[in-house]
Amino acid sequence: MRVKFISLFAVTLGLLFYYVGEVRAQSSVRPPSTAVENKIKGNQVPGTIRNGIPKSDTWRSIRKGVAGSVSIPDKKAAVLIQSDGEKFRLIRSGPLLSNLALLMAITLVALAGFYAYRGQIKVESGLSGRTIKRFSTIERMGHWLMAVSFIVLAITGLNVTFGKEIIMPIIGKDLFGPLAGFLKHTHNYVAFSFMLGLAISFICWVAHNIPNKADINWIAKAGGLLSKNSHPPADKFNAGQKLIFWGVMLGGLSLCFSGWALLFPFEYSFFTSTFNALSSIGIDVPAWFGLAKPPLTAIQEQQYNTIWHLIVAVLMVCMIFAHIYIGSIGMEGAFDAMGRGDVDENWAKEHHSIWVEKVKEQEVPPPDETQVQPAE
Amino acid sequence: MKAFIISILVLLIVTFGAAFILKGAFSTSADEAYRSSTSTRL
Repeated sequence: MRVKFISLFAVTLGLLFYYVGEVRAQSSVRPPSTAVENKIKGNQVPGTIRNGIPKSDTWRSIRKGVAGSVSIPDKKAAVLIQSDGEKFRLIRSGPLLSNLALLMAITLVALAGFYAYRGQIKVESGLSGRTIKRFSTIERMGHWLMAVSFIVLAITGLNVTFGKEIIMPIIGKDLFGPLAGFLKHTHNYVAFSFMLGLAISFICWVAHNIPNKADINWIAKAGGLLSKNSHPPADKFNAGQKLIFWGVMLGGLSLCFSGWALLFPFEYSFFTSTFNALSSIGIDVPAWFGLAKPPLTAIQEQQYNTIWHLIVAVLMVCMIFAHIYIGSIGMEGAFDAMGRGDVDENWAKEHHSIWVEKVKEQEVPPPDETQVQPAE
Repeated sequence: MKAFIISILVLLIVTFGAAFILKGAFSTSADEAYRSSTSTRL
């Protein structure tokens, strides 16, 4: 009985080993009998796959972001590993955000410091009680359209950038998720109101914002902002306002283009076009900043758009901090220009003396109406 | 004040107008980007 059991056990074990051996043989990765053995010559790496290019070189190229070829419509898929993505992530989530946040904080502290030093800039000759028309309804409408939409865009955009670190820990993930989604959609659509406001303001004011000689004198005297009894002459807009105007126009236009490219991803190559245009006049931006040379891939375009949109937006936010400050608590009588549309005559004489002279000249009636007829 | 109220009205009209007109454009763009990146079209 014991012998029969041992024999049966041995046969079963043998069959099991045979079966396992068969399975292993079937699943073997040994090359088929028709395979050609590659022989190593010199320092050649084994494993050639095509045209004598070693596999290691191929994978190294893929790791470096070299594009292959694909037959599907999405040509981006030709790049298996987009190495710039890691660089983009490190910049976008690293020092860039902290530096931009620091810049906004420094701007606010500097304005607070300036207010502490200078206080509100008063109308030194006192308010006259007479007013002079400064901005028409369409001018103010364009300004407020641009201003309100910019504030909405700034708040919603900063939430996209900093909300996860600042807002989410306070209100929690459950509320932050839908709120951030709503604000993102708001950002997308309010952008079109900003574009309209930008266009109206440009049309209304571009002629008044051409630099002239008076601007040099105004800048040399720092606009009289740092000392009392200093009122360098200025036309309808002084040099500081012209800087704000061109900053808003060029920055706003740049935000429109980069924002448009973010709304419709992978459809535009604005950076390639810009780099090529600048390169044609000898300005090699990619070389200066160590960026990829054009033509950029669609993914690179999106990454550059994202970073550029963020940088320009924060610079504009800082600029608008200063604009809001000087247009409100920083200067007596300044808000009336955009609030009511007219300003006190003494305020206008102190800050825009050339413009006041021009307005007065236009107000003078024709000489034949002013001539006093002699009594007969 | 009148200019401010007009600007707010214009802002609302343009914003909701853009949302109404472009909502389809955004979704189409996003869908297309997703579709083209994940499948082969015959």
